[in-house]
Amino acid sequence: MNPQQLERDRRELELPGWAEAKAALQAAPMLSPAVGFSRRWRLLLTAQRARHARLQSLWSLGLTLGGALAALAVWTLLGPLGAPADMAVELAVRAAAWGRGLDLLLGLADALLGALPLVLRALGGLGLLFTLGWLSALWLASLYRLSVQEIRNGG
Amino acid sequence: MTPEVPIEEARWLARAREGDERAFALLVEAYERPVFNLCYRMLWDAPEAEDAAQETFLKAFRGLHRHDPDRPFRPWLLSIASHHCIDRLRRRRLRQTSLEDLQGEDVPAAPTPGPEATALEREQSRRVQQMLAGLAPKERAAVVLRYWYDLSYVEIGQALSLSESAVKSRLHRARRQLADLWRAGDEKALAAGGRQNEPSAA
Repeated sequence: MNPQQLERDRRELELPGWAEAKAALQAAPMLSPAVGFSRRWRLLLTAQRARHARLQSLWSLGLTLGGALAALAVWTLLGPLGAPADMAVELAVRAAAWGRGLDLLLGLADALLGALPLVLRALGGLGLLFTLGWLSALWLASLYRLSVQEIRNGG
Repeated sequence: MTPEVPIEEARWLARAREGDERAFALLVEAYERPVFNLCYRMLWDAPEAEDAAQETFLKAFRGLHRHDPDRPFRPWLLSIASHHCIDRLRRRRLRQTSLEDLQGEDVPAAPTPGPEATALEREQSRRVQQMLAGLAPKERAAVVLRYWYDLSYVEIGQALSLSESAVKSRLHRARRQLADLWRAGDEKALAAGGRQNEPSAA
C-alpha cells in the first residue's frame, strides 16, 4: 500500500462515526436462507428446463407453420408463371420465334442482294446493317431528346 | 477453510461443467449462505433475496463454461449475485418501489429468525441495513463484498466491472456516507424501519 493510501486510510479511521459503523457492519451476522434451499434450486432448475423445452417446441411449431405459410405465399405469387417445365417450353417457343424472325430478315436480304456478285453482296449487307444501325441511333436520339431530356428539364 | 475444500470444490466444478446437476447442487449447498447473505444485504427483502440467490445459482450453472477453472469460484459466484442484485435494484427503482414501501410489506414466515436473534441483534441488523440502504447499488455491493467477504479491491473490481481506482473511490465515498449516517443516527427512521422476519443468523 502506498503512503497516500495509508494516509487516506488513517484519515478515514479518524472520520467520526466510521469506526462504529465499520464495527457494526462487521458484527452483523452472515444470514442463511430457509432450510431446503438446494432442493428448491433443483426444483427450479427442473421447472426451468421444462419451460425451456416447452418454449423450444413452441418455436419449432411456429417456425414450421411460418415456413409452410411462406412457401404457400411464394407458390401463390409464382403460380401464374406456371410450372418450370411450362416456363422452359415458353422459352423454347420464344427462341424459335426469334429464329424465324432472323430467318425472315436473312431471306429479305437475300431477295434484295442475292442476284449481286459476292463482293457486292457483302458490301450491300454491310450497307444495310449500317443503315439499320443509323436509323436505330436516330430513333434513340429522338426518343432521348423528346422524352427523357424533356422530362429532366421539367417539361 | 481447509486445503481439502478447494480440491473437493474443483472436483464438483469439473463434474458440474460436464452437466452433472447433482455436483452443482453440492456447490449450491456450500455457497447458499454467502450468496443469500449478499442478496439480502443488497435487497433487504428476504423473499426477493431468496429469488435472487436461486437465480444466481441458475445463471452460474448455465454460465459455468465461462468460469476460468484457475480462478476461485467464490468471487465469480458473488460477482454474478452482485450484478443480479444491482439489476433488481434498478428495476425496483423503475417500478418506483422504495425501501420504505418494502418495509411495510409482510415478509413470509420463511426464513424465520433463529432463537439467538435477540432484540439487540435485530436492532443492530436493522441499523446496518438502514445504513446500506442509503448507498447507491454499486457502492452497497462494494461495501458488502469488502466488509463481509473480505474481497480485495481487485476482486471487487472484477466482480462489479470497475477499475481498482474506481472501487477505491466508491468505497471511500461509501465510508464517508456510512459514517455520516451512523452519526446522524436518525432514531425515528430506524424505529420505523422494522423488518419483522429477518433471515436467521446461522
